Amino acid sequence: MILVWDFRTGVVLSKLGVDWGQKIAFSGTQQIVSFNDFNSSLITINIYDTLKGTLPRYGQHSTSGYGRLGDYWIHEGCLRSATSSKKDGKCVVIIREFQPTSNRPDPVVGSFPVPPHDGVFSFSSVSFHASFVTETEVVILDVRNSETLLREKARQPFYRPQGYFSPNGHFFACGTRGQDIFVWKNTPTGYVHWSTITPRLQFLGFSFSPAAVSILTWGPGKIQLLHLEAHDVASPNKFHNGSENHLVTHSTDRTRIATVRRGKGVITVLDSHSGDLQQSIDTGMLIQDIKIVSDAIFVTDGHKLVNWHLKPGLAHNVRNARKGTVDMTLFNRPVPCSALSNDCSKIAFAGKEGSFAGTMGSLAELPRYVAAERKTVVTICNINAPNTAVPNNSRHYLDLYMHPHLLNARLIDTHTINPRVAEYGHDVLNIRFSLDERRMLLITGNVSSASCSLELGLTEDWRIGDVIEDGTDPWSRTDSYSSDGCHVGGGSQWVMDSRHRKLLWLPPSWRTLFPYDIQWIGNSLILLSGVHPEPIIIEF
Amino acid sequence: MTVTQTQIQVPAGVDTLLHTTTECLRFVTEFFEVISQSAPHIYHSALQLVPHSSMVRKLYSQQIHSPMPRVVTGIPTSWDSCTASASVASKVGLAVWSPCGQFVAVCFGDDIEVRDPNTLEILSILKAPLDDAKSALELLSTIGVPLDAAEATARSLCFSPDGRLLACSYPFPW
Repeated sequence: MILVWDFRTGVVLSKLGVDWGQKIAFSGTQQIVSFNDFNSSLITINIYDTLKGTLPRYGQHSTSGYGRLGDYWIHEGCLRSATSSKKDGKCVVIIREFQPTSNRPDPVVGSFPVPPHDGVFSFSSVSFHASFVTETEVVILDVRNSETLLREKARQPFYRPQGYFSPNGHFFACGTRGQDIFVWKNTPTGYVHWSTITPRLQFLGFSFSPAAVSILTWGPGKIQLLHLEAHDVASPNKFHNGSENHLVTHSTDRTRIATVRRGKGVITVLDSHSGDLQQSIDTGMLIQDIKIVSDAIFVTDGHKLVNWHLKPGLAHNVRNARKGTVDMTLFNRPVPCSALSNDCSKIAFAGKEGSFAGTMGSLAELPRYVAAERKTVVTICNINAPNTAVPNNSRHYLDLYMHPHLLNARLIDTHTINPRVAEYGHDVLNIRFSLDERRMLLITGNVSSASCSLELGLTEDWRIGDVIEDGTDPWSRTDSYSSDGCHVGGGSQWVMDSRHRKLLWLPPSWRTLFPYDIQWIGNSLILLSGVHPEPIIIEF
Repeated sequence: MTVTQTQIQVPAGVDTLLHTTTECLRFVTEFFEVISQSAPHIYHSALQLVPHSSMVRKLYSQQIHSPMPRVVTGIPTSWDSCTASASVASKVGLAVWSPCGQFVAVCFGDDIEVRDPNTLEILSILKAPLDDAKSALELLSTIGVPLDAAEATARSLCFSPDGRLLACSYPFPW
């Protein structure tokens, strides 16, 4: 079915009860042409009357041998298409003009033999340039003289290899599997690299604006507008599932903030008011969590727990850090995800069944830590997928282990995780203790996107209590609010106070759909998203 | 040699002036959403969030208000490529520019959202009367015809050359 609206009034003018087209285009205002190129040797073309509507007026005709459709455009009121066909090792770009009132074969108005190339074909009706894109290479030719204008090996594999010429013919762009957009500019000497744009949001498709000032991308749940600039716009981390978010912790008096990117090793300690750098600590670890307790910062990488002394005030040699007294092995091998409670009295970890094996013995090392710091490590959690070979309906468990005497771990509780939260194939990306340490937040997801969150209550004796939230409205959680009730909604452009008055406008790149991308420390909002080179701290 | 622009001094020279003009255009584009709501946001929001390397910050830094809230860390060093983004209801979709570049039509599901090309705000929604077609699909699926109404999303979207008509194709044969 094809629906046609009057764009100004929004009224549906016609409903064409016809088989759908993969691609449709207007031929003037009276006809719509639908193209179906289901395979490389056949393109089906239907021409419909736009306003009369219900049936194809001009019938349906199929033509074989057109090859791949590269572009279609209006030329002096007639629709033209460019297709490439390859036969006997030769390649021809053919321009045809569709005659809506005639059932004769559509005339060929141009035929351009070009050197054969593999890849997906695109065409610019403005420049008469053709592109052939494979996963590993892009080639652009001038079809009128077969001159090669660009031949470039892909620095990253091209995504669904497809190139796009801008409507004005000035640019050409390809998306990569790494979610970059490479843009080349059409110059008299050929195509030259113009910019590499790294969108912050995942995209499935994109298109140039008519004047090639912007690129619009669309993807899972988001559209974004990108400015076409003549330089590379780097973003250190564009895949966004929270697994490389920034970790932020603060001193008890909130004068210092320490931050590190999850999975990296250099901790930065800042003055929380001025943002000035106080200390930099290269831990040499792939950090999973950090916490400040009095004058030390505790670090875990899911394998060891280590602390470093913090220096008071501004330090001249910010890289000079002294290791503390704690340097202990928690587990025989790193667990994928671990988290420290705010006073470092507890550690939670998540891992699949296999990675949990053999950890019990090493836990006997914990008393050394207790003896040294007079602290109690009592809680260990394990996300346990009992049978990962069973897809979809496998049940995930949260197991809670307690070590009252810090020598012999024992299972004290098991909780079945909401199947929506822990779908098969998803991992636990993040665990976070609430400030009052009565709740735990678990984020699950896959490599490209976070899926759900689960918030659990902990009882007085550290058993798993009720499920507080299972991702239905995570923004309603108490940790989404500052101590004064300031809050920011999912995707919202405003931070608002407790009376819903607007306090601060957030630029598009600072907005987030995920509540675990923000953290309130007192009345400071911290945007943790890993797409930013550093955490964004806003004082209210 | 300098050229006076109200209260600021812009070093003259074609490149510098061109760069300054480009920066100002970028400033307006980036913060159009908030400035269009209230002009004082130029000082309250926009100038505070301008990248460190921007000529606009260098020229107007004295006029940046120091209000609460205050950004402690995270001001970008250079302009971000993303000038606007918006959430949509569905995971996959289509988007197309109007020929004049004044509108963006976005289809994530059945209906078409017409959005502003600078802010991506929704300007209007074109309703797609597909209830009958989807009901028919569901009816067919109950008698064993393998059709899934939930999967029946739009496949192609286009404007007429004069921008007056918009068409969308759906995978229903009626």
